[in-house]
Amino acid sequence: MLAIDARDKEKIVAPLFRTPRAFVLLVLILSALIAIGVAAYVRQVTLGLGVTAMDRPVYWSTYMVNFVFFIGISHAGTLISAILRVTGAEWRRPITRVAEAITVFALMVGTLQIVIDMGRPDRLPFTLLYGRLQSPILWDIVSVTVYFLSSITYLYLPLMPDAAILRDNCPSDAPAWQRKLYIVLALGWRGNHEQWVRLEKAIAVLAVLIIPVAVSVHSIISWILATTVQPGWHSTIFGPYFVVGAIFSGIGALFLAMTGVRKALGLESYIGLRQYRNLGLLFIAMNAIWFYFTYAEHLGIATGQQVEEFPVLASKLWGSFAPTFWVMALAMVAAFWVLVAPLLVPAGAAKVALFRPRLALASASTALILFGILQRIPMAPTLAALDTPNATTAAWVGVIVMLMLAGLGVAPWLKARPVTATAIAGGLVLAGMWLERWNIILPTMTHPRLIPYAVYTPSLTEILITVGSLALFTLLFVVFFKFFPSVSIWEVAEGRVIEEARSKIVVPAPEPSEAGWLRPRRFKL
Amino acid sequence: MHLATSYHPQNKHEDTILSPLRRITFVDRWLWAVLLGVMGLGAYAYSRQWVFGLGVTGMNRPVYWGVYITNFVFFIGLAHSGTFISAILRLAGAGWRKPLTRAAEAITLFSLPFGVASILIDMGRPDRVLNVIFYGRFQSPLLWDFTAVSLYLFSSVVFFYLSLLPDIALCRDRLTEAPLWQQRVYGFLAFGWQGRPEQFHRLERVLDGMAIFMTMLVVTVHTVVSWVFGMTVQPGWHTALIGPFFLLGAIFSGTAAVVIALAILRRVYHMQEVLTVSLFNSLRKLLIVFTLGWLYMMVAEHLTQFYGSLPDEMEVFWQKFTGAFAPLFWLMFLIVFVLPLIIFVFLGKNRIGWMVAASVLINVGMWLERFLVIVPTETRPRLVSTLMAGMGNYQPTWVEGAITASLFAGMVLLYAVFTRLFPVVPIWETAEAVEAETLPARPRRSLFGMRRSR
Repeated sequence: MLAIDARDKEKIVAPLFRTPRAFVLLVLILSALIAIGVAAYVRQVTLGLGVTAMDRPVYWSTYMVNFVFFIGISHAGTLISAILRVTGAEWRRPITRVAEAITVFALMVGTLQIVIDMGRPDRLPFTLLYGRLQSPILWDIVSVTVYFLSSITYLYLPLMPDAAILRDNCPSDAPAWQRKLYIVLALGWRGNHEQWVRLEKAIAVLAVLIIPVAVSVHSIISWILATTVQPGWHSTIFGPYFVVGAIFSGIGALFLAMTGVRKALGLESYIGLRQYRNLGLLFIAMNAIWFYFTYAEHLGIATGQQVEEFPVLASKLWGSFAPTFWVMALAMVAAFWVLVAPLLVPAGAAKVALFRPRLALASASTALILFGILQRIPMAPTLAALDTPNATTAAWVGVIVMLMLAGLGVAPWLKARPVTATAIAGGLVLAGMWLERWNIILPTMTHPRLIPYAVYTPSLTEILITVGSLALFTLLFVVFFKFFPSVSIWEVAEGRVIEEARSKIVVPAPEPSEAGWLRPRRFKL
Repeated sequence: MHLATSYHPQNKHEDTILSPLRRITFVDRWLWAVLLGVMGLGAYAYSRQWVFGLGVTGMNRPVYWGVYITNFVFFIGLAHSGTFISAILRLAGAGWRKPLTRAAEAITLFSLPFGVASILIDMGRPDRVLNVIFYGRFQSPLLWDFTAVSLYLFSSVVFFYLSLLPDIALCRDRLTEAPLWQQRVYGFLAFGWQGRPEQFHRLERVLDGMAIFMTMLVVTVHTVVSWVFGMTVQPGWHTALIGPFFLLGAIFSGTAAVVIALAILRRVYHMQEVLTVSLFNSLRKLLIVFTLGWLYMMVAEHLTQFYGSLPDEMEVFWQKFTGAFAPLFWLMFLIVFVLPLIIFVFLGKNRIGWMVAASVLINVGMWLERFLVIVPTETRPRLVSTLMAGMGNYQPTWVEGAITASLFAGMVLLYAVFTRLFPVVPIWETAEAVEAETLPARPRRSLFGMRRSR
């Protein structure tokens, strides 16, 4: 019989045996969205890929963007939770479970996208049956499979003691099947010393092993694109660039998920500001690295001025993909600012007139109006007088200045609400990263070397299936945390014990190199 | 000048750290003489090059950049040691870095001038260097490079000096038996430092602020250096990864250089107590990560090229893998990746000798890596090699060898002299207590209700 803290029991265990009306409603809505997506897919299978907007030369589009995006999100769990485990960061404890769950479900939904993208999904095993070792597609299948298996193990291992805790702490009115589920999943866990040692060892080994797997997965996905000679794809930077983007969007997804869980279950005392602050710093660093890579990638193409590469870049900068490209850039800058601004703004700033949300709203609207005018100028004869380089430059400068003012204005508001700010940043980054994948895959597809350029606008089928996939991901996540604790009970308890021991014994500052880093928990590398 | 009551934080290793400053040994003078001799040889070689022109080097059409530019990239890379250790690790809050910041920053400071010098040496008409600014164009990576490197040079001098300030004051107060000129230098450089808490507070704030700036700079500098190559369309150079790859390589070789420098200081100046083995172990972990990161980028770079199979690119590619540069390439792979990884993972823990061996290998290998990035591309340019039969070989001459040796000698000389003049381990940063309550009574008085310092 494993005993647990009364607080844990009330906050974490009790909600697993209640079914609130909001949960049912959410599940119903998500299921409806999924059903619509499934209907769209059935239609696509019956009528063929012709119902999508894909055609020669655009063979890969929204589905592939979804694929790369979801696999990117899946790096939330592994990399973040594994790296934090390996480096022995204590604050990771309440968020590892959420992160690992994101990994597993994002991988499921991501892999599904490949199948959806296939005209003949029944031929999927052919990649293995007739696979060739030099094909990146085969590498991809292998690495994603390995990654999926290892991350599901990585989710399950720390879940085992929790399943045992649930088995022993079931309320008497719990349904029998749920009780049975925990009994099966606990695998006869008794919590004796030998079991703990073995479990910790296994988790430590897995955490180290899973890092190279995660890195290889996203590198290989990028190499599917980069090992071609398509203009815009044949770039050596793709491997690290995709990995950085994946970790970055992973943190964004983690922000949204942990905020959702925190709000829904009232876990304010578990997932505290410390987690938000530390992850926020990691996020800022990844954001900066992402910008660095983006810049390096595009500058090389810009200065190379090669006849086939340059049109792809031009279509992003001022051509047909300019809206998505600049929205992406804006989203990333905004996400950066949302997290950096609270660090820069002094405490008394809210008293200054410049730092008012009202003013921010006003300047944002002004920027929007100016932008609207700029878009209208070439079309509206009444605005012909404004169609001079000076006027348009001034208007663009105005838009940028207004946006900056808006950024300044919201800063104290963001500072006062760190959790909301972080969730906003997470959402911005998810949107931005989806667009980033779009801006990588589509411009190259529509600007091939030989065939005439093409245009691609996603069809209703693709949109419905994408929405359905997102709904499926959310549903899996929500249902999982309906039955399993969203915070790892035993890890948090272990953290408390460590904290308490530290507060009692005054020891000299430990030499970090002796204990931390690559050798946590008696595991020998 | 200064008050006799200026405060210095307690450090139990103060005497150990200051002891190298108290005397200059016979061996020192010999070392300096030998290094000066090597530099003299280099000066002679350079004078020949100056008189007879760049024809005395192995460079010719189409190989315009050879050993000198390799040296340039290598020295700038080496310079990343200090900034990485002190700025990036400062931002990351790694407390273990403190004893080795000074030694690392000194590498930065003394390798940068030789990087800049390499450029000047490479020029046929060094008197025209300022034309880069006078007639510079914003779209030219050379102008970016010039700006970034000079900014880096100046700001690392400032950063270095700031963190040295309290220790210069300490030297001023403690080394009363030093020659008069030396005391004067300390007195002047200490800038009236008294060690008041607000001074320390201000210093820490400035260093924190500069650390952010230096981090951005360190990324910019080596990226821009790489873009001098990457912004062309030369096969092998025109690759998007070149920025991050150069950056990683720079930090990699810089950190390895820190290991070498630390081990020598520890041995020669008997600093076993101060520069503990745990420092080396921390560096070892970083170096393992860098080694793996280097392999990752190496694979990303060459795999993409290989699969692209573009005819121009493959000329360069096969030259490295099986052609004229293959021996160097595979040697480089062996001594940058294979051997260091084996040594660090299996042999390196707690063994400084092994770690130094691996670090030396890494640095030699990283020099080769820079060479192999620069030269193979030039020997197989897009058009010229097909036009001029027999061209496109490059064999460095003794002039280039002598000048390279003299640059390294110069760097070692500056470093060696520096360690005899200034404490090479930051005394104030490694002090046990810098807290305000341990301070002695400060010479402050209250005047009409206003607190006035001094």
